[in-house]
Amino acid sequence: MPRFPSKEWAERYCEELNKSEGYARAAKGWVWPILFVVRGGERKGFLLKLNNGKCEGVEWYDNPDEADAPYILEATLDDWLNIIQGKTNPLTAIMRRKLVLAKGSYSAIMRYPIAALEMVKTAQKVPIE
Amino acid sequence: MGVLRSVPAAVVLAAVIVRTAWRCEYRSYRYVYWDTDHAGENIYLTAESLGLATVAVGAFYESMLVGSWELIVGGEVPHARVPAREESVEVITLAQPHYQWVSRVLPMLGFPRRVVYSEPAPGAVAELLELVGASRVLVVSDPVISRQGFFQSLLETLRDRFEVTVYDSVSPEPPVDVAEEIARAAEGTDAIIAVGGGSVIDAAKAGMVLAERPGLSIEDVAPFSVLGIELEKPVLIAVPTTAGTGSDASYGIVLTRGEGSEREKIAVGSYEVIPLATVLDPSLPLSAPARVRIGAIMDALSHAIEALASTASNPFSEALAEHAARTIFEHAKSALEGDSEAMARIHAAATMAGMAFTNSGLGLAHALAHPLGALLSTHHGTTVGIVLLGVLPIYEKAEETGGRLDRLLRVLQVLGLTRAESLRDAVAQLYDSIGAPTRFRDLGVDAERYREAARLAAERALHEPNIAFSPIVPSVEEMVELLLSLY
Repeated sequence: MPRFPSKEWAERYCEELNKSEGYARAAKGWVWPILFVVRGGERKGFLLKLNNGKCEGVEWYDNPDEADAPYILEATLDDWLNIIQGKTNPLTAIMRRKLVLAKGSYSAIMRYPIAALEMVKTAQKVPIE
Repeated sequence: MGVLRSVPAAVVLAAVIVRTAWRCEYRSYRYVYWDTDHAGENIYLTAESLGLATVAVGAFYESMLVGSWELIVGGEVPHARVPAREESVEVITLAQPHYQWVSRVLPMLGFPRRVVYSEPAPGAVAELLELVGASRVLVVSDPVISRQGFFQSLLETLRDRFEVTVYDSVSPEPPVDVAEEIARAAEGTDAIIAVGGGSVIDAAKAGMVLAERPGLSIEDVAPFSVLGIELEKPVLIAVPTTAGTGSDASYGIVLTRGEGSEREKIAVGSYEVIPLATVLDPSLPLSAPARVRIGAIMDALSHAIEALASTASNPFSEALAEHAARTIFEHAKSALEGDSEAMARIHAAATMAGMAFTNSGLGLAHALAHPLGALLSTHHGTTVGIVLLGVLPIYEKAEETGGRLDRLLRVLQVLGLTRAESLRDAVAQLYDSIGAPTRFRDLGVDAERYREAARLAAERALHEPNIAFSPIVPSVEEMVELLLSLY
């Protein structure tokens, strides 16, 4: 089972997103890659190349400060795990500043609430060590 | 930043600006910077007296500074840093963009700074304007309200003490363009007074944003996007004439764009657009036509119940939502019959419901009602009130949400306000008692047009932010069926 966060986990997540009909439908129109950053302690990150409901690839970063993307989402490891495990709704996490949009338009993110929820549902299908 | 590594000691001046702002409001930044200057000067003089050199450094990376000093946690803003070398003291003064404190103080809960309850509007507005030191004022309204006696009375009172201009062209469900028109009219003013229902107040909010940030697109306004307008002029004072949309206490701006089947509502929002103050004058909603008053009450009740049902509800929003809902059940009928004390309570309940949903989000009923109302051009409050009847059975089955709604139902039962066995039936019975419509055909909507609108609305609901706060998100097909059942 892959650890979170890890390149292996991110790649399996990308595969699962491509199998999700719910995500494919809800994310139509979303054409921007997103960099997911685990902050605090050892910063790690992975970039998902998302395009109209599909995940077209993954880039892993041992140092996410070297990466850039039109959208960058950051949270601590605990907060990411809470979101992935469904304990915290991702939009509630944004409201409570547990999940921070370090770069990108909030108003665009807020127009894809179901896509965000589908991403969480899909993340739950990737087991974590 | 490299120079900081070479000094043996540093003096950091930090400020939690909000601690000054609660009292000094828009002058807080001025006072904090003055104090910083004085402190810096004293450090210079002391260093001089000790034979130490001083140097002011104007630029450093704030993110590195706050991270190392853990200042961000308490919402503190590093103001100046005075590192001391063996033979010198260096003063670093941070020129802090004034708006960044907003992003550092967790905007979890946002409310108007002042609520004036059950007072005549003219005197209350004048007093608030003097409190903020205003001299030039823009009054925003619509063509119906601006012809009312109370509006003229308000203008008369204000013209005695302030320079007043009027923009009274806001239409119901206003288009996005209205923001620029109001922004132009607001140029050079210290305050905008929004006198009207939700459409007027939302238009005024949008105008205020563009007046302070010309060139911004209204569609870029989102919670936690920093606009930097909260302590700037013009400030916004709301005088709601319906009870109500809760817009006088909320962070939302709802405008429309497009025509025909492309017509849609855009719902944006920011904690920075919550009005500085709201003035609740109960004589105003009493003078509205019955149909408007009923739609406003349906709107307020929907806000209260959806705030309670929201997956982001919290102790503050729950308390406000539950009290607002209870008040509406208790006083709606009397308020509609002209009882001014009852209307004062309904007026307050609508504002409380607005405070509740601002701090919890809404849900499925609003996610469906926004696109549906845009397509059918139906009154928002009436639309969401009817949709709520279809959504409540879903909510009442959801685990945590159902528990909160069940608690509200039991409170209503204990107080003798309903004998219904479900909250959905309690709401339906309330609607019946106040003559509120419960089906879209009662609004004169054509059946074929409704079927088409229901299909489009269900698809568009997926892109409404509020749907994320619904405990259950049905499929598009299920949402279409739900809407069709409400015809």
